[in-house]
Amino acid sequence: MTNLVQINNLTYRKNNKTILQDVNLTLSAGHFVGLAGANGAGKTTLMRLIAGVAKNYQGQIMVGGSSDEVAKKAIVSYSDELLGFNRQTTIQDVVYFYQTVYPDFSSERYQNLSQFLKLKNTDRLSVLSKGTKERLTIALTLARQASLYLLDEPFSGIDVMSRKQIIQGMLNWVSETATVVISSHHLEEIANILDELVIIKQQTILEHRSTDDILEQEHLSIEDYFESLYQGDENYD
Amino acid sequence: MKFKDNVPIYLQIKDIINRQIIAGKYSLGAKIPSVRDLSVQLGVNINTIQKAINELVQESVVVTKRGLGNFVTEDVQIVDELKDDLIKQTIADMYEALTAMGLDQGEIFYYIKMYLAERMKDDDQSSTNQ
Repeated sequence: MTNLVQINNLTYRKNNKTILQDVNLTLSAGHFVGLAGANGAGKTTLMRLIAGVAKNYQGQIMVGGSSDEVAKKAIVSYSDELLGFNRQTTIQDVVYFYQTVYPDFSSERYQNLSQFLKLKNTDRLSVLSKGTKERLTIALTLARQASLYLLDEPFSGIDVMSRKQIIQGMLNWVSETATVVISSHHLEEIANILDELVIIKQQTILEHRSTDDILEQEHLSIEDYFESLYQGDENYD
Repeated sequence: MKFKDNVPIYLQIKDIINRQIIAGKYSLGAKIPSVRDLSVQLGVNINTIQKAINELVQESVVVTKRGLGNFVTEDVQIVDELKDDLIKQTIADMYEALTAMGLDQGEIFYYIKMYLAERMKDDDQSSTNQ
């Protein structure tokens, strides 16, 4: 079986500051993976590197067997992409843009998701609440039939009901062969859906373990286990 | 669905399905909801559901029919054994909890007898009141 993501000896510096150092990570297809780490540990950077948005790194990042950026973008659906749109743009227009840019974007799937997540096509971005924006981002991200979904803090600052809807949407819509990477500050929100946990600490990957293994071996909840690995660390927030 | 956060979810799913079967909510030979439906219903991913189902298949509680889905066993003996195990486990848990409080066997027996006598009296009254 080929690995969906294969990262070898990845080091990334920005403005003379080391963000990631000696990262090695292998992800296989068809899993839900939690990405955890303190603020500034490098979670977002790692996602941006995998998605091909951040460049000029040292080492090797292979997605679907290719290190080519165009090839990566074709199979990776990355959540952090509403930023470029004018505030007066309607949801409809954003959807149209996605249809044009991504051949794997399914309008039918988007319609189903948007109905499920209660999004109105005629709304302009400027009137959307934070929670609605998060739901829109998720709907756009999941409406692609990608091999890899990267969701960066998909639940930051949204209410419990929206979170439940989004998680249901993911469980409903993600193909069995696709892998979903989710970063979160609140592991207890996503612990139930994770197959694996990846912990970033001090610019590198400290742990990559199956959640069943953590629960069976450590008898700790996922968030308690995460906290135990960060204990005594001055940078822990 | 609320899960215990320090026990593997697939074990908790197995327990849920077992209890549905024992309680007759999934009857003998009945089709179990699809892996995808259970995943959305219970809020866990399909790998977790599949792992739980796989173990239930290994334990002969669930039978997979190719192309049709997963079904509760038609063997009543297996369900009886499942029920027996769950009853013993429930009593064992109670026994452990009471022992941990410092009760000896005589005291445990005494309190259970007292409790049952009270419940029987209550149930008796409520049925005559009706």
